[in-house]
Parts: sequence; C-alpha cells; structure tokens
Amino acid sequence: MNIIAISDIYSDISIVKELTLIAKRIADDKPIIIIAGDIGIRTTSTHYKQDINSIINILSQISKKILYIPGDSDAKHLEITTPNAQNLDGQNCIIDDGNVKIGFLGLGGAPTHSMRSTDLSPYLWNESIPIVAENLLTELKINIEKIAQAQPDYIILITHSPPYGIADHSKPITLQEMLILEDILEELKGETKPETKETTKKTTTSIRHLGSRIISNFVKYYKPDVHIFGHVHKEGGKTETQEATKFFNVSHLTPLPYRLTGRKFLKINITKENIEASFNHVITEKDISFDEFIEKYL
Amino acid sequence: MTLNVCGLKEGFNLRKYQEPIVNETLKEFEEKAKQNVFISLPQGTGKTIIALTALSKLVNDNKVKKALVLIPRRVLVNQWVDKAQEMFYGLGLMKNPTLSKESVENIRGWLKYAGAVGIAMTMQSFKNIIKKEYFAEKDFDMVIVDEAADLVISRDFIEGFRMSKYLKGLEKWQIPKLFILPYHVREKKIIALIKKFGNNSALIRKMVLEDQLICTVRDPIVIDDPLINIFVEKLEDDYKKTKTNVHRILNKYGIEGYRENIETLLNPETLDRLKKAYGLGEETCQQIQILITKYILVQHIKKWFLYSGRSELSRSILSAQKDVNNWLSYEDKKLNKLVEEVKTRLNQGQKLYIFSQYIATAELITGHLTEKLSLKPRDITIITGADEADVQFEKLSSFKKVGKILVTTPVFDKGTDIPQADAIIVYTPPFSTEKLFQVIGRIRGGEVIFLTYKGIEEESTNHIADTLRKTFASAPG
Repeated sequence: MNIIAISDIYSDISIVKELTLIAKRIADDKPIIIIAGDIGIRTTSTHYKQDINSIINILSQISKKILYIPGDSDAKHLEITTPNAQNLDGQNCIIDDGNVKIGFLGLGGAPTHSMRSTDLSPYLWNESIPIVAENLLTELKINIEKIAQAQPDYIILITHSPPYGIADHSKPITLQEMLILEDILEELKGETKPETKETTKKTTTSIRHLGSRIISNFVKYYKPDVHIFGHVHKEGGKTETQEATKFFNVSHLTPLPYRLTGRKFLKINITKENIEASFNHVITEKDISFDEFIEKYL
Repeated sequence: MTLNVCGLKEGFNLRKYQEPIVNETLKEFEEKAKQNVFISLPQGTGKTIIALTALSKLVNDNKVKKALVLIPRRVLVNQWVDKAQEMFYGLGLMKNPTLSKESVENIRGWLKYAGAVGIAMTMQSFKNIIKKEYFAEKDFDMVIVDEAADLVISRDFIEGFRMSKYLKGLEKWQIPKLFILPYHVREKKIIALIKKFGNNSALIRKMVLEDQLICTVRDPIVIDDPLINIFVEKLEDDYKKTKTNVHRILNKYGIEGYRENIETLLNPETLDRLKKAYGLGEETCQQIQILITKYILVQHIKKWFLYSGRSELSRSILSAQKDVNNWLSYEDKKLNKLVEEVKTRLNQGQKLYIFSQYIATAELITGHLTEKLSLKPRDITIITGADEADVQFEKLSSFKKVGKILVTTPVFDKGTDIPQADAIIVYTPPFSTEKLFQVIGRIRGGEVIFLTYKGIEEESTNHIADTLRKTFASAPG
C-alpha cells in the first residue's frame, strides 16, 4: 500500500496542485493520502470552506482515499463533501488492499501550550485540565481497541500535534509567523489584512517541547506501528523510532513560514513484511544549479 | 614584627612575572590612588592568583577588610574560592550565599566575626542583591571582578558600549575596584570599559607567556571537497549582498550604532525606537527584518555545510537540489578526517580536546567518533551548555582522570583549565580571535590543530593559524 502523508497546508492550493503533479510521477498506483491537520486557515473567512474543499477535491483525483484530521488552524467540524475523504478526528478506519491490512485512528487540534496566540487557532485543547485530558485519552483508547479487534497488520496513528518530547522542540508558534503567513494569503486572495486583537493571550516564547503529553502517554502504552503528525514546523522532516513505533513529523507542505523546512511530504510503502518511508519535497526543478536553486526557493 | 593575617601557603610561589604585576597593581591603588585597576593578561598566566595576592597584601596592610568578588558563572565562583583556599591562608571567602532578608544579617555577622575576607558571587547575584538592597557599597572596601571583559556590551546605538545589565551601577561605586580580563580583548572594548569607570583608572596590560603556555600551531588539515566550495561561495555571496542591502537602508536614514550587531534590529523594541528616532516607516522596518532574517538563514546554511550539519540539511528543501543530494549521499569528509587524526593521536597515547562552537556539532562529533573508533563511554566526554554546572565539572573531572577525548562547546571558554589535554582540535572556529585565544588558553601548551575545507574556508583558517603563531612567537617569556 502506498501512502503520502502531508500536513500544514494553510489553504495554499497552488502547492497542493504542484504536489499532485509530483505524486503522479512517483507512485505506481494511486496512494492513500493522509493529511495531519492545518488544511486551511482563518476559519471565519468566507473562503475557508471553499479552500479546504478545493484542496481535498484536488487530492482526491490522485488518491484512492484521503484520511484527514483538522489542525489547530482548522474548524473542529470540517464540512467536506468529497466522497472518498474521511475525517479521522476521534475516529478510526480499516483499509485492506488485499496485500496488507492497516488500521488508522486520529486526533485533531493541538494543545493550548503550543501556541502563543489563539487568534488563528480555533481548535485547541487544554490538556492540563484533567477532564479534557481524560476524554481525549479515552477517545484514543476506544478507537485503537476497535481497530485491534479487526487484527490489522499495522496500526497508524495520525495526530496534528506531536507527542511530547518527539520532534516537538521549538518556540511556540508566534503571532508574527502566522501574520507573515497571512500576508501571503492576503496577497493570493487580494484581500486586506484583518486587525489583530490587542487582548491576544500571550504565553512564553522560549524554546521548549510543544507536544502533547496525552498523545505521548497513549503512544507509550498502546504502541502504534507508525505515528504521523505535523504542527511543529521547524522540526518537520524529523524521524524517530522508539520501541515499536516509528514517528514522523511531516510538517510542512506549504513553503511558508519556514522556507527551509517547507514543501515537504512523506512517502510510505507498506507491505505485510516491511514499512519503507522517505521524505520528499514538492520541487519540480531539482536539476538546476545550486545558485539558481537558492534564488528560486529561498 | 607584624604577622600577616593572610598570604600564600608554604610550597606555593608566584611565577617570576607575577610579582611585578602584583606590585604594580598595589602601586596604582596605594601610591597613585587609582580607583579602578584593569589587569589584562593572556590566558593561563594566573590572573586569579595575582588578584588574590594583591587582595591579601591589601588585607595585611589593613587597607581592605571586606572584599566583594564578582564572577560570571556559579561554577567559576566555586573554582575561585577553592583556589583561594588551596593556595592562600587567611583568605576565607563565602561562596555565592543564598540571600534572603533573614540570611543577610547572619552573613554580616559571619563577615564581621569569623574573619572572612569577603563574599564571592555571580554577577547575576550582584544584580539581585543591589536591587533588593541586601548589601551596598558601604559593606565592602574593595571589589574584584573576574572575566570583566563582558562588563560592557556594544548593544546601544546611542552610547555605543553600555554596562551589562548584571553589573549596572557598579561604575558608581567609589571603593577600589580590580578588574581582571584576558589579554585578547579588543582595544576598543578596553577603552570603553575604562571610559565607563572614569579617568581615575589604570590599565596593566602585558603579553607574558611562559614556555609551558605556548602552543604549537600545526598547519591546518585541509579537506578537499569541491562541492562545499560551490555551496559556500554562493551562500557567502548572498550573505554579503543581503548585508549590504541592510547597510544601504541604514545609510539612507543615517542610522548608526548597529553595524556590529545588526541582528538587534530584529527586536521589535529596538525597531520601535528607530521608528521614533529616525522616522522609519512600517514598510522599511519590515524590509529590514526580512533582509536580516534572510542573511541569518544563509549564514546558518553555510555553517551546516562547513560543520557537518547533514541531518539539518537532509531534512531541508536543499536536499532536493541535485548537487546537495549528491553531497549528502557520501560520508562527511571533515568528520572522517577528524576520525583519522584522532585515531593517530590516541595511538600515540595523547589526550585530546575537541572544540566546536555548536552543541549539535559537538554531539555529532561525539557520536561519530564513538561509532568509528569503538570508544567506551568513559573514553569520550561531551560537555555543553545543556549540562547543569555541577554535571559539567563532574564530567570534566572524569575526563581529567580517565578520559581520552573531551568534546566541548564554548562552555569552557572562560576561566576553566584543561591542562591534561595534549592537543586541541578546532572543528568549528570560535566567532572571534578573542574567543579563540580563550579556547586555546584552556589547554596550556600542546598542539593546536584546525580542520578546514580546501578553498574558501582554507584562507581564513590559515590566517587564524598565522595570527596564533605570530602571537606565540612574539611572546616574551
């Protein structure tokens, strides 16, 4: 089974179109596409619903199925109408292509401590509140239990937030970074920039672990085979293996906010015997000189 | 006959050049009535011993009863006080006391009745005690500031150099102050220091080096990797162009004072000041920020190429470019050359000190050497700023006693001796000559080896090596 995993698209439709061109070239057959959140941005805008549906529609043309979760910049309840796309937030599914059977489960949103500003992040949960933490953990447990009953060859966990301590070391995402992102989006859409609230709640800006302790506890005890997540941009492309679980921070597909770590997607090939994974970039001109490359992409 | 209350213990003697410096210091304080004396000597010449001897003589002459010793870091406070106890009798100093309203009176009592000469504390603690008014100038007769080069920092566009936030206010104290700083502090900075503390100051600056402190600077080990040159030349070119563009904007508005530390312009508060002072528009500020961010990025990437930052490069978009992809496909030549060099020297029974400016590179070097040379954990010790102070010294002690290789970042650039190492291998050079001398001064003699890529990096490394050689050659014994 071929899988392409991406995250942090922020309504950038053009990069999604570029991805489809590359995906067609590198895959023998149509892949399953996983989107680990932050499909769109600015949920209150009139074009948000249209953006996320366009993205899913474009991707559905090159994939067998799309499994997605909303990220912190998305609405919790995404209204996506594409038939072969499934929201995995708090849900699970089994895909059996005849060669390998895989169970998927997901959790959207992100912990409040990973953000410096909540203006552009409507889907956050505060895991320091015991009842919130317990509910989220229970949801994950129920879903993995359901999957396990089907006895899949592999279990893949998809979350937007990293687990605490794995590929999650960064500063909380800053308002400024988000505004840069907004500037680009405004440029694309030819709209004016919204005012920012002066009452924006700010948290510390020091470098620290931004991941979720709930997710990390869940992974520690339930040991999915693969854990795919995004959210912490600067750690994008990091891979780790701990005990039985392979971790992949697949952020970020959009070229911004960090040009160096952007344009990224993960290609996974899973057979009954083996999992092969490699990071790739949505870059069409790999053969140009180093000088030209720097000019074009940095 | 008057008995001295303190002095060097039996078996300890000053080196031949130390005595005149002590006398000169005392002369400045006593005969010339200078309020501030700055002693600037090379690494490893025993600046602390000179300061302690001067202090003990002043105590014996009844000129000083209580001294305050200020040191940059807690670990160095311990080292300083331990050295005083080891070498001197009657020089009891209290180590970085935990200060609270309740404990201050006890400390005062201890200072008064237990015959203590004073308190040694970090500069951070100084800031706190002054703020909370636990102690004041009247409680002391003298201040000694070790590693005083960072007392002033050049971050202010109006004043040029300003007092570091930790020691702000010290310049107003009228009691005698003795400042100890390395020889290779830039002259501009020394002038700024003296200026801050007023005209009643004296500078004792001598280039003395003993044979045992002179290092042999080997010809740099050159690594041939043509692709590195292609990458680095382009990035260097971009860096220069971008920086020139920032300077153009600064010139246009007549903004001065940021040339050396242009990155401070990323600070929103600084930009706000500029907006008010020079009438900069929002758009111009953004342009400055974008340009600075770009050149910082370009510098980072350049360092990744030069200092084996392959893991960062392999997850960046650059890994998609054909030449970078090709470069990433083979083993790092610089790391492999390091392995060869280390292997040869270990076979000769040498102990090695490897310096890297960056934590990630230090970790990479440690991992790579461990794997390629099948080292045992006790053979190789890595010490970085990520370690707590106590851990740093435990690790250093372990290296001194049983280790073969010590890998560190600038965590030991000031005041800590590593005399057990036979050679220092500089994997990534420090940011300035001043820092380089601080790093090399740690091993007290031995060999200095640089690793450098043929081409663009070679020229600057040769220049650094030549500067070091000339310094050592010109040093009077």
